[in-house]
Amino acid sequence: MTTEEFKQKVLPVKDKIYRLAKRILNDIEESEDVVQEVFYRLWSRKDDLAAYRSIEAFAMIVTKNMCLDKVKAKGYHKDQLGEWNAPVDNRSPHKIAELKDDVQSVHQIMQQLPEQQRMIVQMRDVEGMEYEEIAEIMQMNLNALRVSLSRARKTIRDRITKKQEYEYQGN
Amino acid sequence: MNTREIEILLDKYFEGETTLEEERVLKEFFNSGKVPEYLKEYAGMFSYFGMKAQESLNPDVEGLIIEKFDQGRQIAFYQNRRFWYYFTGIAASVLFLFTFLYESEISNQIGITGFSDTKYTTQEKQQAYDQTKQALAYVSGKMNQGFGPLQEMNKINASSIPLVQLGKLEKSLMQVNNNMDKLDRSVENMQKMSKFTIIIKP
Repeated sequence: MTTEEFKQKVLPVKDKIYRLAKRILNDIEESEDVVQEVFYRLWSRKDDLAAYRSIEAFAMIVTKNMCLDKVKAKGYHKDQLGEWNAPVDNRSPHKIAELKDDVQSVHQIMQQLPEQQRMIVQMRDVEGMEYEEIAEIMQMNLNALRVSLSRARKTIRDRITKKQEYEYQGN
Repeated sequence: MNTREIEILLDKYFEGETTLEEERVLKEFFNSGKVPEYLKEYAGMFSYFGMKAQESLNPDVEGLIIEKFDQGRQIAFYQNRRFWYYFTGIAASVLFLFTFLYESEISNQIGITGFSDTKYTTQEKQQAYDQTKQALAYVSGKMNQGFGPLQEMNKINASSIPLVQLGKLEKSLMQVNNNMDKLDRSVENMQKMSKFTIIIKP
């Protein structure tokens, strides 16, 4: 694969893998580092890339593994399985009401999900990828994937409701 | 799409059974701004998904990545150059060996024409000698011509001669220094003397 071909076929996945990395690591700089590393790894294997059915799926797998390694090395996923704790909020009730259905709270809830569920929601609900593609990247069967996705979506829904009740009581 | 249908889709959605098309319908509905109050709690989710899909990699980082690819290309060129080093090296040694072969006795045996004493007459040898001498004289003449401008360098040598005078300046400075030392010493002595006079005075 030549440099030009690489730029045309492989480089366009950059935003997608950046978003996946950011969803797992929740850190812009670290995610940018991962994207660079992923591309260097893809570049070093550029002659084998043509053999892959989907370069994008391969790039996503490399990204996923690299990010999970980083998470493991840092060990900062300790509280992801813990109970959802509504943050202490000193802002005025008026402000809270304004922010009620803010995306920020969904973002916080997302970061509390286990990495696997977070990745699945990212690929399905943000990127709009097919179940088959996601299953290939996650190395799961379709059934397990749907169960995991359903669980993640319900968790987000339930925590939004819980958060809103909390804020309502706060009023 | 009425809200009843949306409710049905939402149920499917939370079971993980919606198709991409159905999810697109949901996203459109919740981002339309015409969401009834009792469904508002889901709007945050769908606008979050929509927002996150807009994120893109910092162009500076992309630039770094592309730069690396282009460096990769340069490395390929470098490797190419190394190939040429090897190639010229091998070519030179082959030529070197060939000259030996050309001159040696073996060359006569295998029939390659070469410099053998018996092959040329004295006249021919003289002619070759003269021609070589001429060629060398030509080269040396050109070389001398090239050295011509370097004569200017002599001027630098000539102009540095007056600098010798600086040596004299140094000598006289040393003398001045010596005299200053003497002066210092005598001043010191005078101070000592003055102390004596102070003691003696009362």
